[in-house]
Amino acid sequence: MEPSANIYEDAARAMDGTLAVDMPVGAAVQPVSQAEVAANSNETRITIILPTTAYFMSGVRDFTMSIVKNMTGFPEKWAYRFQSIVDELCNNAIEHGSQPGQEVKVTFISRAGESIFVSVEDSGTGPTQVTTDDMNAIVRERQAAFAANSYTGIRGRGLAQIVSQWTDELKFDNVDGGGLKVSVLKRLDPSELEGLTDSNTLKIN
Amino acid sequence: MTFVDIKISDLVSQTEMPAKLVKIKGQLDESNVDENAKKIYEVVEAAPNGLNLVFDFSGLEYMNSKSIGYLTDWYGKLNAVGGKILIAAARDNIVDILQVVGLTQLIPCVGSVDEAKLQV
Repeated sequence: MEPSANIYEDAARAMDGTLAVDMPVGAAVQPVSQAEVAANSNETRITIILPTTAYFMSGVRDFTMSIVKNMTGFPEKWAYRFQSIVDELCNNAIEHGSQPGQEVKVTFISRAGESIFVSVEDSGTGPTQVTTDDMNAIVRERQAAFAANSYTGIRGRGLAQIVSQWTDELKFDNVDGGGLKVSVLKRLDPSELEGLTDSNTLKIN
Repeated sequence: MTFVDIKISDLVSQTEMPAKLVKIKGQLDESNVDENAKKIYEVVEAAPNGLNLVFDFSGLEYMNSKSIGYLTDWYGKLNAVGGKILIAAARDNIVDILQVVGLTQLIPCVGSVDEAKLQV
């Protein structure tokens, strides 16, 4: 599969061509092997299927840290930032977009030294049914409230502040069957490559 | 449930306001934050005339947006009665996320617990 100019299209195409790292209940995140690296050596695609419980998010954060540190060419601070981005997106999908006992699909596409794409897809069976228009409106409203220092809620900082400020693109798509897919893209700022060490390069044993 | 340990102790106050130290070790995430936030609310609500809280974040590895929301709420409650919150010894990734939500403009972050003790 050749990468296109549009990484969102690539993400959709990855759904049938990528490797899937399933996480049955009680299982840890599987290590990434050479076989799991896409044919394009510059690009890595990984999909994780999560049960809808926050119990597994610590492992997903560890997995995200490993991917970003070792496979993306991004500086270490982005490994921590993507831990938060993935955690926030998954928690929203688990809490708002899915019923217990269902699954959330997380897709990573890394173009080493260029960009990181993450999408999180819920089943659309959660307590709140929202459309892409609803989500765009919610994010806009909260961002306006934060800008005006008028937001006092305990919830609501994940998408509107953390995810949106640490990524270049935030996109909502409706999924066939009623789910919602939230996708983010972060491009590497070349100025951040200064001081990059070998620990940030791709290493597959 | 993700591991987190919260220990709360009294501090010798430099002012008339009572002071407490909240030492958090581990990760605050969706699996544990609601339950553990109750411990802090008990401390805040037990001091209606104000309290200075020092959070020792030296052992805090991760905090999610909801834990930041709670921190903001505690700040609001204590600030309203003349108290304050200080964050001490937070790791770079913790300071980074507090900065992106603008909380470092409200709550001072200092390098060590000893430094914080001098301000409460």
